Amino acid sequence: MTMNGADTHHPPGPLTGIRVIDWTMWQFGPVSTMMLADLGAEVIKVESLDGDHGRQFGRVGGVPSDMPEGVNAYFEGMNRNKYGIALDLKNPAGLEIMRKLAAKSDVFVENFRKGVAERLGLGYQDLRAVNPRIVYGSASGYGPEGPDSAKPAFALTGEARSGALWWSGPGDGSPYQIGIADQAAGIMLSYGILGAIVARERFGHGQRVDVSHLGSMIWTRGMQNGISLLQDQEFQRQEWRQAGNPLWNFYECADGEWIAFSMGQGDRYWPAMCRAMDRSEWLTDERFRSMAARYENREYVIDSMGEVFRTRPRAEWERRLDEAGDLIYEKVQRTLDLRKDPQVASNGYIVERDHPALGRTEWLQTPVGYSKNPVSTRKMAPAHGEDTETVLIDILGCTWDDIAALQDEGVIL
Amino acid sequence: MMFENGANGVTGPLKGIRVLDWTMWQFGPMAGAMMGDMGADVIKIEALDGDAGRALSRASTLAPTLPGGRNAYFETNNRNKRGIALNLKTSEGREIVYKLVGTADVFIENFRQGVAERLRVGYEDLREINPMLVYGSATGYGPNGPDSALPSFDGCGQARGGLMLSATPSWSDEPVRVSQGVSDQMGAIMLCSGVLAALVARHVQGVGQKVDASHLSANMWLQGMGLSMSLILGGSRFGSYDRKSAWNVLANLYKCKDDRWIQLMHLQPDRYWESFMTALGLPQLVDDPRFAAGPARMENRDELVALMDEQFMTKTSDEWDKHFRATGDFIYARVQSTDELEYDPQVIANDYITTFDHPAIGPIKMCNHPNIYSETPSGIFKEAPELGQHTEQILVDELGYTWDDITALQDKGVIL
Repeated sequence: MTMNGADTHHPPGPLTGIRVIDWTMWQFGPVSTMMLADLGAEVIKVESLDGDHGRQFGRVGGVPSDMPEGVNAYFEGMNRNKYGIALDLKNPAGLEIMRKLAAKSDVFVENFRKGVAERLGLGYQDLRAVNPRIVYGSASGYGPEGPDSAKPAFALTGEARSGALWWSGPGDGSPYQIGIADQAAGIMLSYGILGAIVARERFGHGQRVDVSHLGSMIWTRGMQNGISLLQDQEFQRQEWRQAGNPLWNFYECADGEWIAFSMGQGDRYWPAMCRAMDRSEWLTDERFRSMAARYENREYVIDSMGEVFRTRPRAEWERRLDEAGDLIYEKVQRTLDLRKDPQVASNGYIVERDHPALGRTEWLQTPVGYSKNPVSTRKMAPAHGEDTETVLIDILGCTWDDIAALQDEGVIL
Repeated sequence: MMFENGANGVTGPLKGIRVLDWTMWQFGPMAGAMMGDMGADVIKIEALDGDAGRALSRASTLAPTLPGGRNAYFETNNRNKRGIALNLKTSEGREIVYKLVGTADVFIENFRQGVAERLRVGYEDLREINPMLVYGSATGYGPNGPDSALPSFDGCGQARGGLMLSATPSWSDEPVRVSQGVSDQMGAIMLCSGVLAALVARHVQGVGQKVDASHLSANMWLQGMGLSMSLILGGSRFGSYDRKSAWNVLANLYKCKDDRWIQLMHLQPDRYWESFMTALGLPQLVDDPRFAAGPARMENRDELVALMDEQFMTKTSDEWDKHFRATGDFIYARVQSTDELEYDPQVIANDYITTFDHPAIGPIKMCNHPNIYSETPSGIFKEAPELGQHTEQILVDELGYTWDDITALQDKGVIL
């Protein structure tokens, strides 16, 4: 079905033909379903009559998110490619519509507090009774089990609980937020749902998939946590001057821009680095010559390298590093530098689209390239209840008389 | 057939899917491990000198070496796999890969652009053998563009993708490295997720295909909300976070009497203002004209944070936790360090960290697959393979080589 013709110009995505009922709000749930929509799934966002609260989110990290014509940048960024319907789920007629949609869908996603879906008769057990093949994705703060499974959660509670507030930040040792828990958890939820769809195609059964902020944030830092658990030792927050391997570190250039090096095999790259830095004496100097020595004398080595890098602007260093050999380094960019990064454009990580209210705007696209079924950004976030009538008529076979009656009863907008 | 070395009871949504994992370090290997967690039969293909990650001597502040020549970095990235070691520069070695490709559903690689093609295991080579193959490719900067063949390790993705600077406080004059390995880990998650969707497409639409994931894009996607907002708003840059001047004082960090921190997270401050300030013991501020209404509260936020700081210092974090639970339905969490995670009752109840009995080093704790499947549970079924541990088993049992063939291949330096 192409309910409003929005995707007629796009080749099928990997999830084309999969229908998702997206009963989520804020960020965690909406990101997960937007990713499925980017992959071609037909995602129907079901909102209450007062709408996803994310539509009213006024200010994010100090940046106001209100835009012309009632559009909200926070909401837009995680609800594109979806159809939107608005229902009163406290009205039995609204619930009936929801259950009928679930019966005709492949996936159902919710991110309400534990117990809310069950109270409304929209829990996994309720929906599997009408659709045994349904994949039911459930997003929570702390996982479905345990003493805090019903505790409310927003992104930073997950960062706090998972250890992430200690990952990085200034040298005074205070916790510092990086603001990724909702996104990371949304990614894991869409991933979990994909796993369950694969299982359903192969084994024939639906199932429930549970993803939480806590579990996702532990996983996002999986390498360090994994090593910590095996070694029974905590990673220390790493000060710049204390980096264990000075070639896995960053340095400031003469123009105030930074350059990052990412060479785990320090000895392999040291000769070319010395060439680039014009410090051939560091090849034989006992404080510099091996990875072990550089670890031992790291503050001195890092200060010395810091001095060298402060002598030339970054562009000049990039040229010298390229000439010296096949070194693994990168410029430290700011978020908005990404817009003019040719790699970003070449790979479609950011695309330009016409927004019906905002005009030409730039969008992040799900960053996985498929050779046969490319992802697409084909529809902007729905206005509240934008597609209610189309969905009810096209998918559930309602008539215009039914629509009028539902409107009169206050079930839909 | 799968895991004949004794890892029985494999479950998971990918049970029965075979993955050839020709990867090294972390980005590719973690994607393979995640598929293994989901029950896939993952065969790690290594060169005769092995994945360089086996020898990683230092990860940030920790040395990952373990008893018995094992390595914590390698173990965590390679559990749930069988391992074979091959010389891909010989035609016999390549022939073994081709035969395995004929039996496989997925092939993943994370070498620099051109390496797979040079060794004739690129997508075009392998799709000729198995048109339904899903070929997952991990790169630093994506398959297209001027830097598509550049080398990249974790920090490169964080640097170029904007993650470092978006995690840097306004008062800091140095970029912040967000957790070691987060760029590789996110790349792995996106690669694995990409492969899953391609498996769905293969079942539903009957096509195999190549899937590309990169450090650059995974790090951008991880900041998806903020970056999308900036883009949509036409370039407004997010101010970096300053606790003492938080725009929403009810979504901010506060230090308690025991020097531990509590993160409040009420995104609808008006809804919680009265009940929270009362619970905090500052009811006199509820109607204070400096703070009562949203705009005034933002205006006077520095003053308000200071008052709340003072009040938080009157109880320990435990006392506040008990008090908040008893007095209302508040959204907050205590700030934990990662070494507390394995004792956190939520972590235990959901099995986010699990115990696995490693044959060489005994019972160890590992990060479990973070998603819970009700019908096809994922899990840790097997430790990381030793270099070439399953070469003979796979060649003999699954590809029909004889023991004479094995000896001949060893003599020619094709296998170990």
